[in-house]
Amino acid sequence: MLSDTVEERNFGTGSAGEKFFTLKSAGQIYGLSVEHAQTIFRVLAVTPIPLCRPEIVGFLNLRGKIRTAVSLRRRFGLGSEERLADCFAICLEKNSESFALIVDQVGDVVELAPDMKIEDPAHCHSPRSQMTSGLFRMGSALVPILDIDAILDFERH
Amino acid sequence: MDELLSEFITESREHIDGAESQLLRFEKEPTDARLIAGIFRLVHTIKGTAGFVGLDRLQIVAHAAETVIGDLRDGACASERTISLVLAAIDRIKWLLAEVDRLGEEPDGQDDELITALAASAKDSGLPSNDVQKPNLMSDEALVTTSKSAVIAEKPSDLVIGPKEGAASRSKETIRVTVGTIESIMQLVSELVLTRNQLVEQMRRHEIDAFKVPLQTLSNLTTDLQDAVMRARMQPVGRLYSNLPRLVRELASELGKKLTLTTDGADTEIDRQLIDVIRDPLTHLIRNCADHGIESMKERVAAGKSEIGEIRVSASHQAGHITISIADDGRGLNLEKIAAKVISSGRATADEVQMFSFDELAKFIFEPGLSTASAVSKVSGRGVGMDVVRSNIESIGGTVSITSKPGSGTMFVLRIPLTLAIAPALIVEVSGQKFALPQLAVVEVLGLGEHSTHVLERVQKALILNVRENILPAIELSDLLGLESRLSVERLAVILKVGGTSFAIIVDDVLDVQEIVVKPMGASIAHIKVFSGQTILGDGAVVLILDPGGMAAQIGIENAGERLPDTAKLVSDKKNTQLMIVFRAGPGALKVLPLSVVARIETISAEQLSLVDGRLVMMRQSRLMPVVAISSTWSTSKAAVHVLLVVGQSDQAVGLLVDEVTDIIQQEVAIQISSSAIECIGVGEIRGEPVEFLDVSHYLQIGRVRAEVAECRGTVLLASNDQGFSDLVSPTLIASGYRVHSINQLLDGPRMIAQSPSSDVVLIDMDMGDEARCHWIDALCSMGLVPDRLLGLYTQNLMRLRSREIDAVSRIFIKAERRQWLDALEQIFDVRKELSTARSCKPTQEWAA
Repeated sequence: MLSDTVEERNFGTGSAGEKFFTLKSAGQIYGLSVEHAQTIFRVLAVTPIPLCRPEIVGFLNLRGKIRTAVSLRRRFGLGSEERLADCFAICLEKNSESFALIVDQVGDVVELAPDMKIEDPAHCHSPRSQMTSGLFRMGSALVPILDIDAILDFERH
Repeated sequence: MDELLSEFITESREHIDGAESQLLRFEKEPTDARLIAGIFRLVHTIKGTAGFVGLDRLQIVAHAAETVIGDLRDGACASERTISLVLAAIDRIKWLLAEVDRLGEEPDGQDDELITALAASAKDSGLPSNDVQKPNLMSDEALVTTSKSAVIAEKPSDLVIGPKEGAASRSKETIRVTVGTIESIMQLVSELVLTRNQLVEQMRRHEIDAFKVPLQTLSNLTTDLQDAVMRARMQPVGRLYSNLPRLVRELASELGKKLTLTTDGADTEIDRQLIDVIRDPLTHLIRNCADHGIESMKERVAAGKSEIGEIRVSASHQAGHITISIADDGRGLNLEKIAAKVISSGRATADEVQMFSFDELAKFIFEPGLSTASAVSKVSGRGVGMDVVRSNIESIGGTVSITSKPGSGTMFVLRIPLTLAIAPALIVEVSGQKFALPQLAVVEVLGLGEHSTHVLERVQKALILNVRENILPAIELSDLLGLESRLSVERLAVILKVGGTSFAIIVDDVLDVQEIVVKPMGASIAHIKVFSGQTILGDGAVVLILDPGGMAAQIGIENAGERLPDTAKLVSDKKNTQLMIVFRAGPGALKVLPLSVVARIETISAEQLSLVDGRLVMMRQSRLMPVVAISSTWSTSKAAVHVLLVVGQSDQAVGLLVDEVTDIIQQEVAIQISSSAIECIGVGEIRGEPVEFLDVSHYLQIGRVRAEVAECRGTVLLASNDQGFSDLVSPTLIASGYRVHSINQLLDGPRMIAQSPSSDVVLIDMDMGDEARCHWIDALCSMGLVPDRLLGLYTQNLMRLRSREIDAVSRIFIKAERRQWLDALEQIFDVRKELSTARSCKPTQEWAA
């Protein structure tokens, strides 16, 4: 199971940092607050929903609970997943609706100190930047943090 | 609250409801001492226990009531006043019990007035006042007696679990559980059913013998458990009946009518969730029967009926549904009044109302704000309520229907599903994906294989299913859902009924029928109206549940019964009774033309036809007549015989080559689907077969491009808001050599006419409906149109013309009497021609004339 591969690492100075899941979608690493992520599953069968907006890939049955699966790639306008069965589903809740965020890979849990945070650069106006809230420096990489509320608000974006 | 107190309150409240209906029965049958004895015991018990638990106010009221009831039991006269007084006392007791239940103690206040009235009544009774208690019966015995004697519902009003039949008297033990407990058990059972289904599915794949028997047992037990829990939620419809006698009694005195109520099927059981939803509609329908349905006593006697109006309420089980009917023996629905109201409220025009069937018209009484009661009474007539009745019943998947017979009564029938939690559904497959379709809406499933008698036809891009003489709109589910369709031969048509509308959806397969637990859609996808929710199937797959109502809306047929005049897709009110010629031409549906446009039907041999300049012509009366082959299969072999329909007149005639004329019929023809194709007005139905109504003007134009240039007698403007008018009239006009412009919009119509040369004549459709017609005529007059330029055409003499209109329209003709109005037109144009010739050549003569 996935939890075997998850290990915790610290970046930055303080220990008062926030913990983030790292995940990968279309080659980019993102961070997601561990408070949002409930469980992570490998994607099994997906039931497509006809007439639905394209970001929603369908329904997943996760332990008897039906979740609406949202593709992060499609949400960011980066095409679709090649094989859903190779993807991972991160369980999220918003307004008592159950969602599953479909990503390519999930990585470690990292602890990022607030002093590592940089605000979004002013010239970032892509749909992606509207669905992230700030960047963290993690070693040599810059990791955008996913704004779950924005990602799951289909009316706004 | 003290346990003793709470038990007392629940038990008392449970029984006091029954006391009320028993009292009303007693009023009718004062000799039945058992009825009043039961009430006496109940009130006595309440009095005793109230004193014991320290509810003084309740004790005093119960005591005063007991005295009066005691007198009644001992033979005092049960006058209406006394009964009303006791009812008032019972109401007070009920209210006090409710307040104690709510507050935990008695509310502040006095009951002096009531107690004085009761005391006065006891004194009047002439019997010695009876404070001495009769032999005391224990409350348990009281319970048994009441439930035995009660024909009218006398069941516990809260949920009771226990063996249905116990040994006599006291063995019917019950425990009380909260509704919440039952609900959570129900929820668990639902999940258990799903898990069982998953196991069975697995079993089907793996076939392990050792598991077979235990699994079968588990499966049966689950089903039994589901039934048992469902039954625990069930309550007798009698609960709904318990307050009806009181309601009817009050209505009778309020309206000054004599009414009796009979109820039937009180022990029919129904999900308790539904009881509360049905209560208001039922009450309203009974009020409606009493107020609108049943006539005043005078009217009833005059009509030779009994003075006493009857209201019957009965309930029964029918195939997964509860049917509750509410009937009266009154005057029946006043369709004329409804029609007038429908027209005056602008919901339909007079013409449309003419065409409505009984059902279509009767349905309007469920529209908001459409009360036909001329006087608003306290009881009804405000036009609120009937719409609430329908929406309440429809919200639980039920339907309301009406039958009515003038002079002998009206019956409302409520059809309500037994339960809402678990519903059977068809699992259908289309384009490789599964969907659940609630079985309640499914009428039948038909095979559409090669050998099937049910034919799916494509008429003007719309699919139509022909089932036993019925024409149903049909749609491919794959099209509806935007999925790629798979062309398989053996497909199925699932016929659904939503409200009064039936339609068919075409699926690849029906895989299974399963009990599904409906889970509502999340907010992010709730906007997709064709789905009502989702569920998990036996194999763990998530499937979407199709919403029949949403699908109907998506196709655009949800309100076929209440269609609006401007509905684009269904132009169904274009009905015309006229002679039609039905013929076969080429593949596909039969074709139809109005017989009036056909001058002759000829049988010709192929050698009479010649192909000239790329078009077919035929020599006829020393002129060349263009021929159009509607039939694509005509043969050039000299021996072949063809049928030729000659349309248009004399030198303007065109021949239409067809395969065979099948019939000439006189009937009302409804164009149900308008057409996008140029040669076709629309699609309709004749004797259960779909037919295409051809537009003869199209063929006339094909045939006569040159002829038209050669001579045009003048231009005729057609004024109507109905495209059908010009479809009908223009072919004749074109055939007679006029140029035709039809004006369908009142907005720019008068302007067009004003700009048109003054030689043009306007033909106005008098069948437009009074209001529309007046608008048109007023607009035309205001543009300075002189009367001799305006002719009117009509079908039925329904109009009441205003004098202004009579002045404006010079002459009016019946549409079908073609010769007459053509002659009149000819006259107008010929006179003009003469005049203008006279003017230009001999100006002096004009003066002389």
